Amino acid sequence: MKKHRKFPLILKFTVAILIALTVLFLIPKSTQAFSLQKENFFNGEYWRILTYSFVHFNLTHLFENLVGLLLVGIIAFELGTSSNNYISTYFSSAIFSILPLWLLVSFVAAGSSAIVYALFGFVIFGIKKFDMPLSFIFVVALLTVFGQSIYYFIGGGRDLSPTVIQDLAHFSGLIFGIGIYFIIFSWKNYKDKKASFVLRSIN
Amino acid sequence: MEERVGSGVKGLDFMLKGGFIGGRNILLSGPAGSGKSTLALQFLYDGALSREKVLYVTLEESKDKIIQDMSKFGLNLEAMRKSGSLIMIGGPVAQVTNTMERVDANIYNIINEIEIVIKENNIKRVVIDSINLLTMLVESDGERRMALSTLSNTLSSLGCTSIMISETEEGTMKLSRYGIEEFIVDCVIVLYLVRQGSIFVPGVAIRKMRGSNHDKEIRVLKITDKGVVVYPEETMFGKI
Repeated sequence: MKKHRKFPLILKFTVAILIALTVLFLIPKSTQAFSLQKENFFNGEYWRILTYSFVHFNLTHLFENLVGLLLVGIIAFELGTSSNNYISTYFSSAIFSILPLWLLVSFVAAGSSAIVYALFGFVIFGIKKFDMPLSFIFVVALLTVFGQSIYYFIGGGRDLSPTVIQDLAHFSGLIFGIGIYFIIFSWKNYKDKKASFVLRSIN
Repeated sequence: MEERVGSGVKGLDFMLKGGFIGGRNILLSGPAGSGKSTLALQFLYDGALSREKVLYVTLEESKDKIIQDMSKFGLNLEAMRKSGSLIMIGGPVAQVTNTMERVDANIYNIINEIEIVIKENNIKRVVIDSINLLTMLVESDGERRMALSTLSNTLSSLGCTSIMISETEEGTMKLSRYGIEEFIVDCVIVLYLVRQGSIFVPGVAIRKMRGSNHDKEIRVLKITDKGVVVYPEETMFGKI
């Protein structure tokens, strides 16, 4: 009898998120109702700190993030990333990654791109397979974030401020994801070190 | 030609056609009181006498008790320990399991710890006494096999000649507790306690040795005041 492989949790979660983002996009005025705006937020609509990541401004915006989430989900699955860590990074980055930037600069936040970059940072720093130095990974990640702004800057004649804010939001996400990776990695190292001192600790 | 490592028991070396093959894993099994720990410690003592660094991992008895018991066989483990050639880690089973629970350690952490000690001290011979606790830490045979295989590969990759002790039930012809250990190792030595009238007669047999010819008979073994002695010319059961 043919044995069916269990559908992994990371991919299940990714598909569920993709469906949720698409469904919310189809609901009229969802962006207005759920995006993160200072006025609404400070008037008690605190849920917006999470819900902004589920709504998008337009179809291109949605499509870019769907592709990003799908790719990063597949990479995470291929690299054997823990599903618990992946899901925790998703939600924690949704809430915290753009918060400092959003409090400093006035803009309406919507979309899951900061999460995509947070997950990207979290996942790629865990790559052990190819013996890549962390500095190289970081440079590649930075180019991914700022590539568009650099391209526009070289081309000239364009107002860079919207792109820069967008890139800074992505950068916040990336740094948040890398930070989460190092926190989890350090904690795991600490636990492993402690757990590998059993026999020597007995007199 | 492969390097041969003395077992510390002349008669056994004769049965092994010159000793264990260096860098291989040996399963030493038998019922309680058959001389497993004594034989394994003689193997380590032999290495320490040749200025090799050796490691004894106890997962059942306290180190002090082992040192005290072995001194009766003329094995001065304390002196070896002080000189740094013998390293002893572990302790009584209850203490090991309690510490493991406290720090949330699993079988792979224990294997990792053994690996760290071997690397840090350039160990050449290892005895794990016994692997029964390790095999009890996992539930399924599949996991057990995987864990033992990891341990065995780790020890081999570090170039150690290692003895893993397994306690078997009395009166059984099984080679190990779970019946999987013998498939993972390169060599299996079984100690027997055969009842003859009102006494138990100890014996030893080599049941498996990859890459080498070996003696096939069950030979007489005695636990004397000099430790385990094997009589490679004497068979346990006379031919009728």
